[in-house]
Amino acid sequence: MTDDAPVQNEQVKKVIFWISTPKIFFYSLFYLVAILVAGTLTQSELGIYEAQERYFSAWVTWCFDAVPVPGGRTILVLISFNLFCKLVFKSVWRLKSMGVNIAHIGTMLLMVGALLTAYFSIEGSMYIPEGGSSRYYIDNEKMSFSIIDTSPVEYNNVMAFSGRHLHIGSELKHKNFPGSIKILDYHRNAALELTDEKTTGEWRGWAKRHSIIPKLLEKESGKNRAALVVKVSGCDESSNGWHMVAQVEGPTVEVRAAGKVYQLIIGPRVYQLPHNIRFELVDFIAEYHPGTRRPRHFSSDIRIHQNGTLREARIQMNEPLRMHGYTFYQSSFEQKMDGQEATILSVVKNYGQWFPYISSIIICIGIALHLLLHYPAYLTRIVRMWAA
Amino acid sequence: MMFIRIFLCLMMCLTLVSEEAEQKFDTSAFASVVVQHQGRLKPIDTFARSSLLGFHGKQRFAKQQASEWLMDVLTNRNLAYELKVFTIRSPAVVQSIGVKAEKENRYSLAQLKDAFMTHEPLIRALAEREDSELDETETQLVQKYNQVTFYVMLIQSTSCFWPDIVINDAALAKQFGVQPGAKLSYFFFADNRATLRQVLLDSSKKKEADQNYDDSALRDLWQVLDKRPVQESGMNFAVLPPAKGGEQWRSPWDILNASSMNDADQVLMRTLNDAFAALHDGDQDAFNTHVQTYKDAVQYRDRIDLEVSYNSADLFYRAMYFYIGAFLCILVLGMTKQPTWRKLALVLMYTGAALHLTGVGMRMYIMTRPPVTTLYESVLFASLISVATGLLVEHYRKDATGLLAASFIAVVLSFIGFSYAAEGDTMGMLEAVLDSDFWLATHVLTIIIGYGVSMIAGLYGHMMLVQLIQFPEDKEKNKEMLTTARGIALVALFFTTLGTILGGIWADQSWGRFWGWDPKENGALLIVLWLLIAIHGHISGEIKQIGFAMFLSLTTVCVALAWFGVNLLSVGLHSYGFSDKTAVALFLFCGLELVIVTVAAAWAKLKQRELQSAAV
Repeated sequence: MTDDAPVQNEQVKKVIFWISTPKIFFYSLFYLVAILVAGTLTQSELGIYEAQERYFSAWVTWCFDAVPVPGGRTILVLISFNLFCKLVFKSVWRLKSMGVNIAHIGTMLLMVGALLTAYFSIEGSMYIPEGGSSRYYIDNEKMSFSIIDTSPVEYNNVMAFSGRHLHIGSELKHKNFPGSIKILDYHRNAALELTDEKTTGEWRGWAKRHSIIPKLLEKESGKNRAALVVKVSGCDESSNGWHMVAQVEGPTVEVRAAGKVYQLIIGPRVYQLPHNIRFELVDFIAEYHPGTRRPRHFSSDIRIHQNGTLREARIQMNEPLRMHGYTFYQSSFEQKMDGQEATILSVVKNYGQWFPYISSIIICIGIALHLLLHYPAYLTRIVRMWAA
Repeated sequence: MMFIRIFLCLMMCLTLVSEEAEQKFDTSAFASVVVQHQGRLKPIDTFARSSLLGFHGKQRFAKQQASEWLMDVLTNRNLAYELKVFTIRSPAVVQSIGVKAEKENRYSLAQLKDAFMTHEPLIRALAEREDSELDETETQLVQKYNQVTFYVMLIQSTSCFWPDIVINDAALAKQFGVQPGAKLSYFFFADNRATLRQVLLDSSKKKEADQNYDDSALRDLWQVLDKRPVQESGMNFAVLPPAKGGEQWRSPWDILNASSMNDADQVLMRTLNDAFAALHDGDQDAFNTHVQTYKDAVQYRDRIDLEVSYNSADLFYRAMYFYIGAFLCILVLGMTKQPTWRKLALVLMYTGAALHLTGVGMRMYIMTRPPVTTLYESVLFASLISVATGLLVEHYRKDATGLLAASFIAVVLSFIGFSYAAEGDTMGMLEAVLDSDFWLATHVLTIIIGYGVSMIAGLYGHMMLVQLIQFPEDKEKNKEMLTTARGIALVALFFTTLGTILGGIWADQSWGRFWGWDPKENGALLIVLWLLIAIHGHISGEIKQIGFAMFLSLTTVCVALAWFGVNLLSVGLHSYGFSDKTAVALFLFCGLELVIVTVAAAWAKLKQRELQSAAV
């Protein structure tokens, strides 16, 4: 064992040396540029979120929908690893290379922040009509399927399945639901079409006279309308069979089992605000440049209800409200023909929020220091010129 | 001293070229009257220029200043109908409205109005559609229709002051206290509404008493007065200050159509009426006096006169002439090797930069915001940064490379900027989310500085390639150029990185996320990554001097894509205008750059090999 140790160390050193070489960084950047260009070009067709999922945030990207190639996330991880190895094992810590090293540390921090944001951030939006209130926000990018037990008198028992369960062949089971649900067909965006009554298959309810027409994804996720066909089993005989569940369109699907009624719902993922918080929209103000319909300023006067306490706040463009780790931004608004207004607030919880701030300062200090250390004559000349 | 004299002569020539040789009626007083348009208070001069640009494609009409043209339009309906003010270059548009094509593509309202009226239902249906559903012809059709409608309303906007109502009946004239045959405006009767009411009442009583009483003169007058507000109150030519507590300025017709007119409004309206009467009579002095009285009464002069001076100075055009001069001097220097030409180019560049800087400074002062809020402004500011960077490089190297890069980029960017000026008022109001001086002054300013420096880096890459082709044996100079190029690349990287990160922080502050893979963000990232590739590729030894020059050269393509290309996608939170013509120009530029740079790099490589073979 002891004889092998130096050899092993030598091999480890070689591997580390290879991993930390700038060549990897160089070619990874090249590849990242290719992913960046390809992803950006498809945004006009797919929309920003879908392109992000397929290219930038993906471990694997499908080239021409046929060949799997490393996705943006894989490359970013590779670059981070390369940078880390370079920093720890290869960087020379002397004054001349201090600028570069500092810039690399800043970049590493930026990557850590990006990782935290990618995995732990929550984003959504709140719609509150003037005079109304809400304690929920929805994430239009992520879908969920819910089975709602409506039998309790004072509340509903909701069994929610996240978007990762929504694919053909997936079987949804829950301890509080006596039956089981299997997904036979699923489309993130679809329309429903009235058809002649179907004579084949075990169709139930309004699904007997409707078909799902798949549609291309909308650029704005909120405009997509999901639809799916599920096979219900283990429930009452009248409920067992094929049901069609659609977002917004069609009546609510109800199945019966063990004397209870369960509703099947597909829709965007809904979150509840923390600490029993409820937002009430007191007033929404939209100002326009005089004589135009170009918005100059809009703001929402909010009353925040929390466990019996009440306080007021204003959320406006470029001035969000921050509380309990959440940030609420003035995102959009709605004005109806009858004069009724509603505000749309973005809700974000991001654990990596401060990383870009810190890392950007470090990166800029690093590059500036590098310039100062490597081009002193040039800078001295400029300073002298201005002084003169 | 000789150069200074040359300059003074040049400047005088440029000034003389832009001076109007002959002026029929001095409109300078009228040009600085305040008007509210598209949410902004601006001088009539700006309003006239941007309107004329829209219709005509130029800021002058024939030999007239824009404000002179506007005065004609506002005071002479028949002339306004006959002026060939509309430019329609697309034969398809002309054909689709059934108008006979004119050789110079210029059309008058008289030619277009009926044609557009005939096709109004179709055009209105087109206007209902999304922009993306319209082809080029349909888009232009809707645009021209809107322009014609706007022009018609513009003609009518001051019709209440036209002295075109004549009372020939002596008795009726006497009742209004004027001479028979006097030319009166609609406003005259609105201002004397008590008299008018009394005249109508008296006439009604006389008619009751005597069935044969002849009231035809009054009936004719009433018919004219009764119809006009309905026909001609469309245009919001807002030259009158808002009512107390309001922000919305009002047009003369707004005042007349309101239920009552307060004393202050009455004074202003009377002054305007007098000014129009003086104009009609060709009385220059009286016109100037009334306009000045009006401007004094309005009491809003904040930066208005400066904006008129800014408009007439045309500083960016003048700066461009100096840049062109500097570029030509460098070309002559290349041919003659006489150092005098470098000095001359240097002086020309500094003069151009001074004018350019003054123009940017004036815009900042007028708008009280950083000079980077529209594509037009960003292009002109980046151009200034390129000039500054080029001059710094020139001070460092003293071999005319900095001057060549700066003058070339400045001329190209000036032309690009001027094409955006054709879209109208270049000092438009900002969208709510952009209306943040702090972020405009940090993120946008920094990223535009990054674009400017990157453009110089790109051009310096081209010059390196030329140097490597022409003098591959001059190792010392090639090495010096490489060092300078790396310095410029690092500065460009610094500003683009800082600008991109600041943009992320702004996005975090405004929209709740640091990075959303928005096309504009991706474009900025593309430049950062490209510069990182060039720098790290060279450090790692993967690319040598020729490769580095090649990568650096292609930075211009990345900047063009990030700046203009991403807008083609029409997605994301950064929205700017874009046209198909820009797309074609952009693709052409990118394609040409790729070909030129690749061929140049291959050629330089060939030269290098030849040199190595010769050495062996």
